[in-house]
Amino acid sequence: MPENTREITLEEAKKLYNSSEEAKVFLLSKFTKEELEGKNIPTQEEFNKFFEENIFPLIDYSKTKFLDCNNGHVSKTPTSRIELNNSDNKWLFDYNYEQKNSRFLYSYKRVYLIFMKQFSLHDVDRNRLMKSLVEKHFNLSDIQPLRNQ
Amino acid sequence: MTENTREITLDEAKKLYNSSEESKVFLLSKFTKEELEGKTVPTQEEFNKFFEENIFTLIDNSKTKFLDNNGNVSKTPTSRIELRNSDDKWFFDYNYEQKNQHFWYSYYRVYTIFMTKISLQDDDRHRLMKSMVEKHFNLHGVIPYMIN
Repeated sequence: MPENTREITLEEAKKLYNSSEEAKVFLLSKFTKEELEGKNIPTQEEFNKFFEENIFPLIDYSKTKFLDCNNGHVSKTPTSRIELNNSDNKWLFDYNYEQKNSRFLYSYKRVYLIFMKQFSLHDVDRNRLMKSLVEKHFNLSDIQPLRNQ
Repeated sequence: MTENTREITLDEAKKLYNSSEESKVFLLSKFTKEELEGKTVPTQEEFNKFFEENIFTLIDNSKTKFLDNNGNVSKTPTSRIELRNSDDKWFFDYNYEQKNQHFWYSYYRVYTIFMTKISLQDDDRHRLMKSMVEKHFNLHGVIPYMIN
């Protein structure tokens, strides 16, 4: 470190952050908004817990549907494509466990917006956390969950 | 065929089969009971159709449960699924997780229904069930078992 420079820690920056508009602008050039405002990336356990306590309870299992794997229409017979809905019969998750056609979709309005309100996540973190959540709860490995309208 | 022997077709044998006890005994030495009584092993398509029309229609999807590793109903989704009828009695219990894959069907509510209609040897039953499960549940390499 050259003679004319000094270190500022994140702790020090956080204390200074709301002291003035100038300080805020300056510190935002050194740290990210998430770091300064305390919006830390949740651990996998925290993310899973949020789902267990806030998203999964929205599922009404009596509205579970089996969908035709080819066209997405409701099937009269069991299939490997499952749709989990809320009590208003609006879909939350739509996934297919068949190896060849495995996929996992989650609703933009009814899942994504809820957890993104709680955790402001970058795409890379969201994808990583969702992938691991789906592995743990749905036992679906090697699938990148996608949000869908 | 020698001069003193004649052919008898299955159709001819079927007509003669119930004419007398002697005919029955004689014909059973030439043909199998299944051939004579018409209980042929169904094709895979016929077997699947039977399930589609007589078994799957008994499932009430609103009773679907997700089970944990202990077989208890889970509050969160899992890879182990139980399909039930409207009386909340289980029909199928399967796990699509590769490591712990299984497919069980109910002795009382599935096995006895199709075995009443289609009398099958174990080999044929296993083969037909395996293929039916592959087609409808997309579960490959799993041997379906009946459970009480």
